[in-house]
Amino acid sequence: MHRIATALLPRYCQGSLPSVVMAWMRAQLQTNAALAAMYDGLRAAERASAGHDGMSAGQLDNMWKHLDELLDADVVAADTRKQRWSFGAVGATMGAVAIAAAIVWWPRSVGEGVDGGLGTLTSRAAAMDQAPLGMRVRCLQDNKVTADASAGARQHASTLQCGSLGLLAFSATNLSQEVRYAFVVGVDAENHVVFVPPFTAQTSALAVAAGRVDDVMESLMPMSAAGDGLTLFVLMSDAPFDGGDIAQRLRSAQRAGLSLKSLDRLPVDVPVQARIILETAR
Amino acid sequence: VTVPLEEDRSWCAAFKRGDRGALERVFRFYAPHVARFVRAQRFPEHDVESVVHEVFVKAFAAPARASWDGVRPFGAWLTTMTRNWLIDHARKHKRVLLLAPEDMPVRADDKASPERAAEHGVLVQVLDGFRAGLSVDEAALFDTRFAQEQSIRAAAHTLGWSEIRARKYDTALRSRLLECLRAAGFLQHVQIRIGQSLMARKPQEEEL
Repeated sequence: MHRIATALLPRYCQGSLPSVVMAWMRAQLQTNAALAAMYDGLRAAERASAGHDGMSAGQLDNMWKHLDELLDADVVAADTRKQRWSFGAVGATMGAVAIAAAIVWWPRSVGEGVDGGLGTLTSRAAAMDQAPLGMRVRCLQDNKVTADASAGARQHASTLQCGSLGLLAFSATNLSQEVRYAFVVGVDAENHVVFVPPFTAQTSALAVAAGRVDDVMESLMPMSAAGDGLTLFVLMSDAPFDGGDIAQRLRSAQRAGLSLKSLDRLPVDVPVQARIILETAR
Repeated sequence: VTVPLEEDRSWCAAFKRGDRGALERVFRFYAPHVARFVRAQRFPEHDVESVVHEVFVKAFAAPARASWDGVRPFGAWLTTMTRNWLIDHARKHKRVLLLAPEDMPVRADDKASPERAAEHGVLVQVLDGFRAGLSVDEAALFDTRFAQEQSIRAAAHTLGWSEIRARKYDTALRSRLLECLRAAGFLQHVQIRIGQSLMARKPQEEEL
C-alpha cells in the first residue's frame, strides 16, 4: 500500500489523479508518517522555489478542487444544514459531522429514487417498525454456529465476532403483512465499499415475502474476504431498489468526502437501516 | 487578487451571496495566511491543509458568511475562526497547543520564524543543486512549474509542449526531487517534525 501511495505522490501533488484516488491519498497521508514526510518535503520545496511561505499554487489548486466538489454537492453552502469537513485530520469531528450531514442532508437531496425526503423516509421507517423485520448473520466454523447477530427495524446496531476462517451466513425475517426488500453492503476500515454476496452492484434487493422467519440465503461470505473492521449495513425497504443505485450513491458520497464507516445511516433512500460490526475473533 | 475582501465592495457582496468565483478568490487570497498561522503551531503540511480546509468549509457556510459584517478585516475574522478551531480541537483531543491561546497572534504573521528561515535557506541550497543537475528541458519545466507556479496547461503553452509531455516531465521531475530531498537528508528533518505533530495520528504501518 505504501509503495503504491509513494508512486502516486508526484501525481497527487500535480493534482492529476481522479477524485477518488485523491481522496484515498488524503487518507493515506493521515495514517502513513513516511508518506506524509515526503509530501511535506515536496510542498516545502515548491514554496521555496516560488520564493514564498504561503501555499504553493499546486496545493491551492488541489484544495480548491476539493472544496469546489463540496460546493457542487451543496454541502458547504447549504443554509440550514450542518457543515462538514472531509480531509480526515480529525476523525472524531468528521464522524460526528458526517453523521449529521448524512441524516440531515443526504436523504433530502438525493431523493430521486424511491423516496421524496427525510420526512417520508422517517414515516416509512416508522410504519415498517410495526412488525419484526431484519437480518441475522451467523458465523459458521467447523460446521457449527459460533456466534450470531441481528440488525433491523428494532435493533439498529450489533457486533458479531467470528474467526478468520469462519463463514458468514445471512437470513432475513419479515413478520409484516407485506413484502419487504433487503440488501446488505459493507464498508471496511479504509472506507471502501464491499459488496457482500449474494448482494452485488448488479443485483436487486432481495424480496422477503410477508411472514418469513429466518429465511436463509444460499451464499456464504468467508471472513477472509470481509477482513477486520468491516461494518455491514443492513438496508430494508418497503419498495424495490437495486445494488447499482446503492453503489452509485455511495460513490457520490465518497467523492464528496464522506467517511461512510463513521455513519449510522448510509446516504441512500432506504428507510430502515441497521449495522452489524464485524470483529475477527482471536 | 491583491485587495483584501473588506476593501472591495463588489467582491464583498459576491462573497456574502456565496458566488462561486468570489469564494474561490477568497480562498486563494486568504488560504496562505491561514496556513502560515497554523504552521506556527508546528503542524505538518498535510495537517495544515486539513485545518485550512476545515476553516474554509466553516467560513463558506451560509451562517458564517451572513455573520461577517463586511466591515471588520476579513483576515482577522478568519484567523479568529482558525484560532477557535485549534483550541476546540486541542480540548477535544486532549492535545497541547504549542502556543497558549492567549499567546496566539491575532493576525497571521507574515514573517517566518528564525527556525523556519534557516530551514528555508537549507532547502533553497538543495533546490539550487537539484536544478543545476537538470537537462535544459527539465530546467525549463522546473522554472515554469515551481518558480513561476504555472499550471500544467500554462507551462505546456509557455514551453510549446503538449500537455501530456508536460505532465509526464512534471511527474518525473517530482520523483527526482523527492530522491534529491531524501539524499540531502531533508526528509529526515521533516519527519522529526511529523513526530511532533499535534494532530491525532495512527501508528505508522510501514517504514520508509
